[in-house]
Amino acid sequence: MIRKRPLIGIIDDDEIYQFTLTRIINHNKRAERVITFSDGEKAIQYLADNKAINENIPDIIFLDLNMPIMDGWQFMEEYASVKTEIKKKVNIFMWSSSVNPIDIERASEISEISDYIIKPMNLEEVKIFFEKLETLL
Amino acid sequence: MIYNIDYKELYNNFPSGYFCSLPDGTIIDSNNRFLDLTNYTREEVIGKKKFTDFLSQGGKIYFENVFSPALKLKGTIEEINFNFIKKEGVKFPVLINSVEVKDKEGIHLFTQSAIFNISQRKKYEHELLIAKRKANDLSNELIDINKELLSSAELILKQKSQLEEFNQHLENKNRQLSSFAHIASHNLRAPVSNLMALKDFYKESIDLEDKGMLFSKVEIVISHLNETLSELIESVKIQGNKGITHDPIIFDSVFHKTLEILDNQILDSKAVVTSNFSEFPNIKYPKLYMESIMLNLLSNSIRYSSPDRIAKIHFSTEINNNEVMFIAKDNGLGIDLQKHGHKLFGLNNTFHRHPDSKGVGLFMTKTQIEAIGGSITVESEVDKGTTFKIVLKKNIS
Repeated sequence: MIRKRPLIGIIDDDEIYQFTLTRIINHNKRAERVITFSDGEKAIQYLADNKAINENIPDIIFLDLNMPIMDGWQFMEEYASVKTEIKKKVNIFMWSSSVNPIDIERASEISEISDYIIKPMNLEEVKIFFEKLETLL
Repeated sequence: MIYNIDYKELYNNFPSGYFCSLPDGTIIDSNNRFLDLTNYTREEVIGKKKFTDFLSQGGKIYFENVFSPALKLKGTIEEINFNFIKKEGVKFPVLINSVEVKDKEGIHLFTQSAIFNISQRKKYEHELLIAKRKANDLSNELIDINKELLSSAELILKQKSQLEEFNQHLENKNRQLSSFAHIASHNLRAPVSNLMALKDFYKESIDLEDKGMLFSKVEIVISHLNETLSELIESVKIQGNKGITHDPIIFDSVFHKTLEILDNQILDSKAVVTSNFSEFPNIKYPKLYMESIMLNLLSNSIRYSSPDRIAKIHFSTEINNNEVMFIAKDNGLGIDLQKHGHKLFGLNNTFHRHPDSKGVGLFMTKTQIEAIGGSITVESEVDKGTTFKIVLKKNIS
């Protein structure tokens, strides 16, 4: 049985990072489609607009912590209320360059966050991450 | 019971010396006790010695000038201290009481004097004096020790305040360092990791057009990185520049210079910019910083003015608890401090989707203000406006 590839959402204000991550995902055919948002507010808006359309809701979200307008924490707060109307399992990975233990601790306390990953990751690490992810989904 | 008292015997053996002298001082009688005290025989004294013959040179002067006139005036005198000279020349201290004996017409017939040997008492007095001197010395010593203690207490207090100052300095440095660590992890790590990823792509790519596209992205990252580094270097310069000169500044003239620089933006936005520096018109402050602070605050207020109303921006100075305050108030978009307050003054943090938002201004403004020992706080309400309150200097003097 051929498994359907996931829809991946990237929420990050760093456009170059969006580009590199998208390229790795596409290059390795890890996703059906990649959608990007430059801050949390835009992502929440998208989720709210598409909550009824299951195929538009990402299976995996890569969430940056530090962003303008609405950062990763604020996104998680807003997401909690949107989540109830989404009929799909969404895996959220918080990706951040913050090595602050307080941030890591805080992320581990939010049940919707599957894992906290410290940026930067090199290409090899990203590939390994996706291989592991395959077994989880 | 009746005693037969021999008054002659009593007179001679009385424990004090007695003598009787004529108005010219010649002694005409004395008791044995007086002779014992002075070591003279009766024959050597009676009719031959005068009162003053028993006195030293100083004693004689005192006798002529004080003792005699006082006795003549009152007819009696008590407890005068003389040094009497014994036959062999040895002196001993005495107290003298004298009384003039007069006849019915008031003619002075003779003088009766009693002398008390006070050698023992003088010895005690001397000992007391020595003891007193010792006590004084001790007391002085104690005063000195106390002074030393006080001055060492003062020294300790001074050292304590120095330590506190040093601690404050360290805390400041620590805060700067942690802010640098934050900047390094957020603002430098990300572009560097981007460069690494782009480099890997570039190496793997075999398509020339793709390589060109990747390289243009590398250029973008490098230029961001360069900007971030320049800003960091600038802020390090500000923080390290402790000896910067404080120029005499007239707020009004810096304000007008700022208006000229932002002339186009003010005209385009139709903002109404006013000021009132009358409460505190001048200050000594680094001119460059003051210009940069006003420029940043004014351009921020114009940039984030509300499209729904005419922008009103007001700059003023105030004295508050001996602190010089600079206040910048606008009626613009405002900032949700609950959400963004903690990173308002961080590097490269922006809160509005505005093409000019770079997130440098407030970071630099805060760095400059804190380098001079001041502080900046903000009050804001979304869609109502923002007020920046800056303590320029803690002490007006």
